[in-house]
Amino acid sequence: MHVALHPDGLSDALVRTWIGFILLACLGAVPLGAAAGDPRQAVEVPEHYRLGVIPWQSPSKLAGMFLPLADVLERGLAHPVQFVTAPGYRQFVERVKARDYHLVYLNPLLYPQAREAGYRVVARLAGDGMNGILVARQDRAMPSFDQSVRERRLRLALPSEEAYSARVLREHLGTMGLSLDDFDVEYFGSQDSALLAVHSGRADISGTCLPSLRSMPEAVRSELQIVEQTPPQAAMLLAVRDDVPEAVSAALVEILVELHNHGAGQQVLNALGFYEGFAVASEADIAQRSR
Amino acid sequence: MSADSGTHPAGSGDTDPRVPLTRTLRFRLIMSVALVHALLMGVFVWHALTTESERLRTDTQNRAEALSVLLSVATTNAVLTEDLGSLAEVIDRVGRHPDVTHAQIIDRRGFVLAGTEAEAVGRAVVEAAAGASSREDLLLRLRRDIEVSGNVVGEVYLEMSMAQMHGLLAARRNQALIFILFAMAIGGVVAWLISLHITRDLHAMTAAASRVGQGDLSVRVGVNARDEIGHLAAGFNSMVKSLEALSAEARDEHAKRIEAERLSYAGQLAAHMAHEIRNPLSAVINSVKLLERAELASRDRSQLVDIINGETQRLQRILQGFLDSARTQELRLETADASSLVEQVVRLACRDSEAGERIRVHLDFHKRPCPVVHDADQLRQVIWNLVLNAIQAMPEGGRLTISTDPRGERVRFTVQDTGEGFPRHLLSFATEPFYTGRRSGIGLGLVIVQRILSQHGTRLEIDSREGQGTRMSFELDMG
Repeated sequence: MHVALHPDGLSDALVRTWIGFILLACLGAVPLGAAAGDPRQAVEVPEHYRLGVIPWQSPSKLAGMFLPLADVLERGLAHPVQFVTAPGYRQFVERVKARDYHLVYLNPLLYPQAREAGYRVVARLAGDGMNGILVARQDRAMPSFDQSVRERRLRLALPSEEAYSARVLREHLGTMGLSLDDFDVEYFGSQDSALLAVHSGRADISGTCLPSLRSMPEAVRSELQIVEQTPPQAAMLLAVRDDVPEAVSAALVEILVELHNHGAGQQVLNALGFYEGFAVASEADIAQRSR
Repeated sequence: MSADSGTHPAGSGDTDPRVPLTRTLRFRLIMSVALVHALLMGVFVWHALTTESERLRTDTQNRAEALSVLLSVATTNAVLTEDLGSLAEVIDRVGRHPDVTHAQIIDRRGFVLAGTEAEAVGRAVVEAAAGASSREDLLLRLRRDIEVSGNVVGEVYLEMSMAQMHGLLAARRNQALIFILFAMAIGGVVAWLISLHITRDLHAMTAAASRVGQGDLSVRVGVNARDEIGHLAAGFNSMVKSLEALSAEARDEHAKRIEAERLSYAGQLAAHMAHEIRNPLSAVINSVKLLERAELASRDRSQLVDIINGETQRLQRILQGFLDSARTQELRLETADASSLVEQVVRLACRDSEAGERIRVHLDFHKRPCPVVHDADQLRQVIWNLVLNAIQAMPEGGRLTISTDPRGERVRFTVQDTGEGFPRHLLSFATEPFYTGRRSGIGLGLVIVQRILSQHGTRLEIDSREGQGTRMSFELDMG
């Protein structure tokens, strides 16, 4: 290693180190100085574990579903856990890529990007996996998905172009020789909004997933019917950022897996609509299920 | 109401100058009404301001509460999704509210997601120390949790300025003060008008009473109202009418009594005269009878002639003195210092008297001239008689002191001797005609003095102690 000496005998590295210290001290002094005159001062607070949930429902509904889970995790980990979601799929993906969350609940389609950002899967929803569904009002005639669809131009409500259910349905329609171009597609931002669009008559059919339909109020759900259903797809995943300690990660998995084994956990699962609970997942499992 | 006779102005409405302003009925009435107005208006205004203040405070509180509720509801989804753009937009719109001085949306970690102060966004917050701001009392601070299904996911923090409310209250308070002053002014004017009405009648009665006091019982006041003042005026008139009747009776009685006294006095005077002239007249008569005797020796005849001469001279003096005491001369008043006059009379009296040489005269006049209103000839007569009396009271000699002493608006003259003094039982008769303690006196000197002093509006005061001396004093008006 080449070391350049200054005339006074100090090395460049040493000088840079001192300059760095001085700059850090100055930067540290600025907020303190500003805080002296500011009634609401900036201080360090204990870090929260941020649980980021893919925005597949309205934020309030997601909060109602996941806040009990965040509460259980917070108590189990003895560390604050903050539930957050994002305004849309695109923003959620951007945040995942920016490593904005410690824990992420996401669909398998997004997982490769999450993994690339440094997340690793630790759990998944138990059971066979998610079914994509097409829903229509019960008082309307059951639509047939043949070549006549092109003439009828059904109004199809989808949550988002990037939504897992939309992707699944697009692939399923493809197997039936149809594509989204055969419909008048309108995106409503969330699964709930898409379902409500059908319920209110703004759309003829909605593409969503089974848990979303289950989570709708009875008054809405009872007036809707499933007109098409995809085979089970890969289950939703829960991944942790790679800087979350292994012990925390292990404790997290244990808490999730044990939820269906006690009453309080069952209530959390009921709130989520994930009646079968969580299961341990690994990279190998994901690779195998993807195949 | 006004006095309906006489020349004194009555009912002029002016405050009596002899009564201090603060003691006048008018002043007290005006002050009472003004104070009652001020008190009542003050209580009313205080109550109104308190109510208004409470209402404004409640309104502001309610608006702040409503705004915070609205803000918490409107930002719930944005907080959950950390939609900073939406939050910034909401906060920006809230911050435009004129009363909002500070607003923040804080997430569950305590980090500011959006705020009216951009530098705070992205930082954690803690509470400011109490009283950190000098505008503390002008701020309303509210915080409201953002909840979803009973779980707190964030917090809305609002600081609203109460300055507008305080400004409004200050304006109300100033308006109220103006109202109070206006009410006091109106009340004062009304009180002044009422007091004018009341005191005008009272002034008329006061003027009438004053004239009654001066002896004019013909005065009456008008009865213009049926109120207490009217009753008082009627009572006053009734009283004056009774007084007038009583006064007429008293005048008649007085005239009768004066006439009786005059007749009695004339009788007494005649008796005194008869008594006084009887002895010298008897001596004259007896002497004339004896002179008719032819055998009377010439020496005895000469003695009888001397007696006749002496007694007739005495009779003449008695008659002259009586005439002098009875004669009332018109005064020719002048204003001048009487010291030289007094001194001149004293010297003359001492020189003409046999005992004058044995008298030590002491003149004790005031240092500065004391001009008095007097008739010089009459005053000379007064001083002469008093000094002569004093000299005659000291046949063996003594000290005669004459002094002048200003007392307020009058000057006191004193003639004091160290002579025999009056016997106590004679002191009350000293100024009665023909009472005298000396055999050679006729008892009319002090009567003349009293008559002259009476014409000058004063009287003779005698203080005497038997064997020690007499002091006689009188006062004259200072010019």
